[in-house]
Amino acid sequence: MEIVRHDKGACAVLYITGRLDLAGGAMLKEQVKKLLASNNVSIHLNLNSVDFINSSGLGALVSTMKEIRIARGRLTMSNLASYVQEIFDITQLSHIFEIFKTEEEALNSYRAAATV
Amino acid sequence: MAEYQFRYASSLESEDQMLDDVQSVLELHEIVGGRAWRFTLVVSEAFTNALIHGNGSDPERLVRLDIRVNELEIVADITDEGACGLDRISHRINSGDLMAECGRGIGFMERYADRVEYRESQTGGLVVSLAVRLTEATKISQS
Repeated sequence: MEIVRHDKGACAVLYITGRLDLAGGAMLKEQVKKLLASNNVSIHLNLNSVDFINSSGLGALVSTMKEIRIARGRLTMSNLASYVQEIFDITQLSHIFEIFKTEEEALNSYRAAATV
Repeated sequence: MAEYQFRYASSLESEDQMLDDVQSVLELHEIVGGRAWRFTLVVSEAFTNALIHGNGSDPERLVRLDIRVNELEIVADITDEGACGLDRISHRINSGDLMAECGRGIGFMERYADRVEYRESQTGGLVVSLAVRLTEATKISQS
């Protein structure tokens, strides 16, 4: 798995490519830990290029969200492939995570929140 | 029937190798789409359980993956080298906590495989057998 970071406004966007599994999940948790340590608490995950996710990857996402909430930050996700969306739906995690169809929609929601 | 045997050390790095091996078998038999995805998912769940819960992430202990493919189905047997395998399965806990960081793997296996069987190896390890049908027939059964 590979993670590429682009900062867009106040939001750190992580582009994840490959398998979000046990090893990939550990990598994601480490990356988010670094972001939080440097006070980047608005984090968006673009999952467009995630070609596989399992329960270990889901667990890592839940762990990541908990860490971000503790830091009083916000985690969003977008561009889920249909089978990834299905996994979120059947586990009901789609009710827990903020999931947007596109990255642009997600980033707009950050802008809108900032203007309130 | 075609048969494939793989052995992996119980380390984090083995997961990627195992997924590559599964993908190779699927491609060889031209199994694609939803069936390929379901098979990969359920095997990965059993593999992770074997690696962590069965073998305690001890790299000296191996996880065995045996795959059989025929016209009707593709079947994987995942075997760990732990003890009291069936007890581990019968004592599994599903908390139902949406925010849990683990505990969803067996649910995925039982949802996405067409057949799931658990048995104990001669040395006490857990053997998880997972089948995905390659025909249009509906699910065989679920344990």
